[in-house]
Amino acid sequence: MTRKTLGIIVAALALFAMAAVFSLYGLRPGVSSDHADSPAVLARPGADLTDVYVFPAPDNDDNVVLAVDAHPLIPAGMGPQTFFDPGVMYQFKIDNDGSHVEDLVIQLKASAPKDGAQTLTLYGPGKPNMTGTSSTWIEPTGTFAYNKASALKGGIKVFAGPREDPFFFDLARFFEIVPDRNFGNHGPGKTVPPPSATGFRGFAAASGCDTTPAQDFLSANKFNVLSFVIELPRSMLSPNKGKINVWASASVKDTGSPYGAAYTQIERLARPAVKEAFEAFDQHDATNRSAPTNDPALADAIVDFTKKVAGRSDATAAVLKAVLIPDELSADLSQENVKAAYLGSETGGATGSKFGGRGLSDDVIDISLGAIFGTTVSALKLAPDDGKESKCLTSDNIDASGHRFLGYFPYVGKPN
Amino acid sequence: MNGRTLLACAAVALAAIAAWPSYYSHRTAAEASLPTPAPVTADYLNRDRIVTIFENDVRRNPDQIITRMLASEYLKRYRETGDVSDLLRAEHVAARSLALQPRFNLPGEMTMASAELSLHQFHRALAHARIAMQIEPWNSAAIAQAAGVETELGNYPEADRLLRSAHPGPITDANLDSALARYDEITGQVAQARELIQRALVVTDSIIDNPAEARAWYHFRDGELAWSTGDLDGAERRFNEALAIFPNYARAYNALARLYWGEQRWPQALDAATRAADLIPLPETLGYKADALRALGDARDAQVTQDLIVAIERIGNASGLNDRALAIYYCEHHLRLREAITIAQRDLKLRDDVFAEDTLAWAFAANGRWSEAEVAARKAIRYDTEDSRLQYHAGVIALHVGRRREAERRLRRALELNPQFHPLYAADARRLLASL
Repeated sequence: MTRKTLGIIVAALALFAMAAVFSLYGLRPGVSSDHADSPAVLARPGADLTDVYVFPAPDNDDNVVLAVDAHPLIPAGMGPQTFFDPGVMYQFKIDNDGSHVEDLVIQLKASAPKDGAQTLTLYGPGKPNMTGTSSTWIEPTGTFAYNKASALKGGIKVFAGPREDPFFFDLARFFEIVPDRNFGNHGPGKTVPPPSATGFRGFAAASGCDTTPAQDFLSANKFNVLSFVIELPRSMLSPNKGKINVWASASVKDTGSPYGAAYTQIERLARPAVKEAFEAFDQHDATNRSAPTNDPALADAIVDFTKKVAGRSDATAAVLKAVLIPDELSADLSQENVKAAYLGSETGGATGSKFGGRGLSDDVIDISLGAIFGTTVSALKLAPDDGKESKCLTSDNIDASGHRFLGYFPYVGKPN
Repeated sequence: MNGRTLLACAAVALAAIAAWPSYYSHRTAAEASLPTPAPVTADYLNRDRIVTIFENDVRRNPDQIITRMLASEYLKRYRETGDVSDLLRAEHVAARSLALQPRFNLPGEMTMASAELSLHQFHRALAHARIAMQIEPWNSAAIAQAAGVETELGNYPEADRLLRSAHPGPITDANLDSALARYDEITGQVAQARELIQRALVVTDSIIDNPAEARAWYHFRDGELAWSTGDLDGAERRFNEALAIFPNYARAYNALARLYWGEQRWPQALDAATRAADLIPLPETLGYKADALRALGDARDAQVTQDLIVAIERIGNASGLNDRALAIYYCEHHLRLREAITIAQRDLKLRDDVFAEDTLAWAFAANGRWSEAEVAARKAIRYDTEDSRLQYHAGVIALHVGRRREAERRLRRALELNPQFHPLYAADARRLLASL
C-alpha cells in the first residue's frame, strides 16, 4: 500500500462517523453486556445527539426552525414507544452577538413516561443563568405533549417525538473503505491492513470509480430518531435579525455541582461530522464536555488530520480550521426568502445561499467530502489547488430522495 | 409469544413497574443523594417484534451493520429467556457481520465474543475479545470484556493486568465495574466487589433506555454478592428488586430458590424453584426443587424432578453448558458419582477457574479419592475466595487428609461468610467444627 493510499484510507476512516454510527456498539460484555460518539453518550442513547438543523420555516419566512435529533437507531414501529430521557437537559444554545458564547438558550425537559405518554416542558428562549458547560433551568415557557405538534405563547411551535431519521449516508460502504475509523490507531510500527474498498460506490460509468449502487443505511432500514423541533420568529433569536451561531447540548444532573441543581454537559453537537471527521475517537468525550470556545482538541485535530492524514496542503488545512472553528452552525437571519445551505453563511453563499444553517435535505456529507478530498476549497479560491484530490472519495452518491420531509411543521418526516 | 402470553407479560410488567418506586422508598440516606432511578422500560415486550424487523432488514439489505444489530438483539433475547438457540443464532449472524467486514469490526467482534462466552466457547470468545481490544486499546468496554473472559478461564493475573490497564473516563463505567467486581469476588474481596456493583447499579438504573433485563442483572449480582457474605436480607431484597424490574427473571427466581433452600424455608424454596424451572429448567434450579419437594414429603415428584436432571445431562446439555451444576448435584446427592468426575474434568478443560477446580475437588471427594481432591481443592481456594461452598469443600477435604488446622480454618470461614449457605453442609460444618 502506498503512503497516499494509506493516507486516504485513514482519512476516510475518521471522516464523519456519525453519532448514529457509534451507537452500534452497545453491548454488555460477557455474561451481562452498548456506543455512541463517546462513552458517556454510548451509555445513554437518550443523550446521544445525532444531528442539528437550522433553517427558515418553509411555510413562513418570518420564522426560523431549530431541530435536534437524539436517540439513534430506533427500529421501525418502535418510535412511539421510545421517550425522551427524563434525566437529560436538552438545549439549543444561541450566540447572537458574534462572541461564540451563548446569549440565549432553549431548554427541553421531559417527564417520566406514563401510560405511553410524556409531558415536555419548554424553557426559553431566554438568557442562561450561566454560560459554558454547567446549566440550570431558566423560566419555563409552557408544557406540551409528546409526539404532538403544539403552539405556545409568543408564536412558538414545538414538537418532540419520534420521526424518521433525516440523515443520509452510505454507511456500509463507509465501513468498507474505512474499516478503522480510529486513525489514532495508526502510527509508527502499526500496520493497517488493506480495506475491502478504496472509494464510495454509485459513480457514473466513465468515472473510474465504483459503479455499483450506493445505499443509504438509515432509510433502507427505516430507522427513526427522537426529534425536538421548535419554530419561532427570527426576532426572538436575534432582535436585529443578524447572524446567529447555534449548537445543541445534552446534559445530566451533577450531584456534585457547586450550583446545586446544575446539569453537566456530556454531549455537544453543531456541524455534522466535524468532531467525528477530524478527532480520534478517544478525544470525543473531552470535546463533548467543552464549550465551542474552549474545545481542547478540535482545532489542532483539524489541521493535523488534513495535513498529515488526508495529505492536503498547509493552506487547505488552514482554511478548514478557519471555517470550522468554533464548531457552531452559523445562520444569517437577515437573509430572507432563501433556503438554508450548509456552510453557506461561512462561504459567502457558495453552497447555495448566504443563510447558511443546515436544511433537512442539505447533502452535508458531499459538502464535507468535497472540502476534504475534492476541489471545493480551491474552487472557492480560498486556497491554491494542491493537486491532492481523491475523486472516488468526493461523494457517497446518496441524496435525500429516500426521505419524506414534510412541507409543514415539524417538517421532519413521519416515523417509520 | 402468543397474545395471551403477551398480555400476561404486560400485566406483570405493569404491576412490577408500578411497584418499583416502593423499593426505592427504602433507600438509605447515602443512597438518597444518588441519581433517581429512571422509570423501567418494558423493552422485553417488544423483543420478538424487533428481532423480526431486523431479520427482515437482514434479508433485504444484508450489510455488516444490520447483521450485528440483529445478533445483538438475539443476545438480548437469550438473556431474557435463556433460549440457547438464540445464542446459536447470534453466533451465526455475528459471523456474517465479520465476514462482510472482516477487519476493524469492533461491534461484530464484541458481539461474537459475548455469544461464544455464553456458549462456553471460552478460547474462541477470548480471541474475538482480544481483537476488539486491539482495535480500540482505550475502550474500557472491550478491555472489560477481555478481562471477563480471562477471569472465566481462570487466568486471573492476566485479568488483573487488563483491568489495571483500563482508564475509566469521568463517568462510571458499568461494564468495567462489573468485570472488576467479578475479579474482586473471586480473589476474596467481596466487600469491594459490592461497592463496584452498587455504583454500577445506581448508574444503570438512572438511564431510562437501559434494557430492563440489564438493569435487573445488576440487582441480581449485588444480591449474589450479598448472599455469599451472609447478608441474606440484603440478598432477598435485591433478588426481589430484580424481579420488580424484570418480571419472570429466571436468574432471580433461581437465586431466591437457593437462598430459601439454604435457610430450609422449603415452601418458599419450592415456589421460587418451580417459577425458575418453568422459565428455564436448569439442573441447579431443578436440584433446589427436588430437595424442597423431598423435604416437604413429596418423594414421588422429587424423583420425577431428579429424573429430569439426569435427562438434561443426556439430551439437553448443549456445549456442556450445565456441566458444573450437574456434577455438583450428583456429588451432593450421591448419584452417578463416576460420571460426576468425568463431567467435572470436562468442565475444567473448558475453563480452569476456581469453581471448576472446586467442582472437580468435590467430585473426587465424593468418590473417596481424597489426595486428588486435595490437589484440586488447593487450586480452588488459592485466592481465598469468599464463597462458603468452596471453603466448606476445602475444609472437609483437608480433614480427610489429616490437615486439621486447615480444616478448622476453612470450615469456620464457610460459616462466617454465610451461616446458611447450604441446608445440609452448614450444619455439617458446625458438627465437624465441634468434633475438632
